[in-house]
Amino acid sequence: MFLDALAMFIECLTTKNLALGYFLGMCTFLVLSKRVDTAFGLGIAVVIVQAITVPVNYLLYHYLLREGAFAWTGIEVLAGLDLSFIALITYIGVIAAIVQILEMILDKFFPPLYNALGIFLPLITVNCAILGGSLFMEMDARQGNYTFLKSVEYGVFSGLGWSVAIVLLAGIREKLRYAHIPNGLKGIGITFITVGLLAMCFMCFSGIQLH
Amino acid sequence: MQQDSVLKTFVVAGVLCVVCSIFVATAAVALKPYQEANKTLDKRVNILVAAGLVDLSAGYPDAGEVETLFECIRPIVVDMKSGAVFFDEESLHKAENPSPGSEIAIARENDVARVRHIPQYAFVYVYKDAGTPITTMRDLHSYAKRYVFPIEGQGLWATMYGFIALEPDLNTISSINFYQQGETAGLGGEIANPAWQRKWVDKVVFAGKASEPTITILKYGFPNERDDQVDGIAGSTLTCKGVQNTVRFWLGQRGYGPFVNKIKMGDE
Amino acid sequence: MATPKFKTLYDPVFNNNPIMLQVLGICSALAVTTSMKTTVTMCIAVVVVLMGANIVVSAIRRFIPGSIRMIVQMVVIASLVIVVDQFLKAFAYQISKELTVFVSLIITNCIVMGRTEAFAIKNNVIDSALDGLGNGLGYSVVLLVVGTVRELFGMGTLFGVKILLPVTEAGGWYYPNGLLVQPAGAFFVVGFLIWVVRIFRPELQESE
Repeated sequence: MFLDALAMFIECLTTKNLALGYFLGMCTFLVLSKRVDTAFGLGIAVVIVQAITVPVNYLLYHYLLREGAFAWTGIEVLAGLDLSFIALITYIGVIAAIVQILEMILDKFFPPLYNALGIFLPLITVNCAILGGSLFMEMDARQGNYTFLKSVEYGVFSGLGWSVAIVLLAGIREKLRYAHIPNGLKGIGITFITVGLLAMCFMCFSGIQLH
Repeated sequence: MQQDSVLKTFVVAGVLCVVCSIFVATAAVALKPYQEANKTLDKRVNILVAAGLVDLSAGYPDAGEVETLFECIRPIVVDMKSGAVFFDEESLHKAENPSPGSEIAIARENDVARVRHIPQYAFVYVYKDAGTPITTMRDLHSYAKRYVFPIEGQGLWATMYGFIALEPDLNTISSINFYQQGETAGLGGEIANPAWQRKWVDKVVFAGKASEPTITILKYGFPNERDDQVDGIAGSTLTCKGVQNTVRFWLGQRGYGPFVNKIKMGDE
Repeated sequence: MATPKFKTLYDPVFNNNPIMLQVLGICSALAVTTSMKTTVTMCIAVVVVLMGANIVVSAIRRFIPGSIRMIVQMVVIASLVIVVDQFLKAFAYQISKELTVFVSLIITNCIVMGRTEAFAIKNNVIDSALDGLGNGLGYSVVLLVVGTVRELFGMGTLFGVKILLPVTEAGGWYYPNGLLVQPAGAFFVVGFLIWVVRIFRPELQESE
């Protein structure tokens, strides 16, 4: 049990990193990685939102959307329903709603945290890393043998993976300001190359097997 | 631009929702039969490739062709614990829709292919001549020309899904293929390359009287001296290890082993 | 000379390419550029969604209340994406299997929402359609270049047809560059692409 979780943690952090392995959340990843403190704030916001949305979407998928999901109602007519085609729009709605609610809760009960994270929260609604996390969860769940606990783990770890990547990138970019970069590469160009190098390093962790 | 009363907002939102949902639901319902047909076709093509009846490098076969060729394939159901074989429709249906919780868990120390659990009733596809019915063990002995076993296991990156086909002696390999894998293209991904898959042909799974599979994938460049050794792929030791473990697991005693023994016993 | 209509179509492809300029919407699409088959399919999907969303949003622009503007656009885009995904699953099953979740992710592509919000909501249907087509094509150009480089040099093939014979085949001479098919390869290709474009278009260079 613990080993499974650890294996997933390592995978989500390295080879299956949402940002470096699947190019998810690139817009924010590239634009908001100029400073470490911004990157850090955004990272935390992503972990929180991911840790809530993936399990919630898993429950929706498992009990409402997948083929035969309504079996628990015991009603014959409903048992054969397959609503998986509206999964996408459901996830988007859930994410938008959760972000809104989170924003209100933070504003009301944790004003300091709201001041620190508030500006990032709306950005997260359109962050493909969040939607991607839910979609990958669905893909795994389709293979069978998926549990609620696993979706919680996946949510937290995949969010962490993305955050680690953006904080590392921000750290490198802060130092890069003192480097002499060819004019054409300045800004976004060199960022891409840096991300490429980072991705290369992360992929070196492939093949880790825990037994 | 100020044009929105609350009522209007609700009306627009409502109408939009209804229109969009009709649009999306119509598309989903209308296209569902095609999608289902695609899934079945895809599965059948993979089985036919494994049985050596279809060559994908010559292009993807059309539905009619697959239908005709599939006459030569007889799916049978194997009880993974006892090796018992079932030929009836009901068992086929049961294997197609396994009841939840019926899977057999594989203990971590035995789980070399990292599958965690296997179905209690698994399919084996028998290649025979079209028109020869197979309904008993005796038919199986007389008419089976090849046995196609679905296999799956963890590679370097992702789970690899494929088939291995054996001759009726259930030892000589007639083909192996992987229809879904996520290994490094150009390196581990070469497991999907027919050129490498051909190296498995006529190799044996069990050396001599061995009861567990001895088939081994060598490290790249090592000389291939025995008929239970397959050449490795350059730069893909871990993927090859995964393939070897997968084949050994499924043809071993925790996989199709009991069934394999049963058929072999009948031969003697 | 270029009429305004033609310019709406032409501009985003060459002069004002959304990816090259603002690096918008590059997100998920890079993941499918390992082979040309998936790249082309993805491009078609993006063009269809972008054009469709622009047309629909522009057609109903007078009825959309300001307060729910964004969510209306989102619903329109989402519906289109789902339908495109369903079509791919029905008629291009093999490719849709390789594209996995990335077709669905068009929905969060900044470019789609960006165009409906910036253009379609203010302009007539025909202009919006052209704008959608133009931006979709501009987006496709970049993806196609990246896809060509990655598949040709990463695997020695184009559309699955062998161009450079890899050493694993008899008589082969080309060592496929495995790095290019890895995610890192895509970042490098885009990085260098931006560099090349900015050498020829110095006005795009950032000073930081």
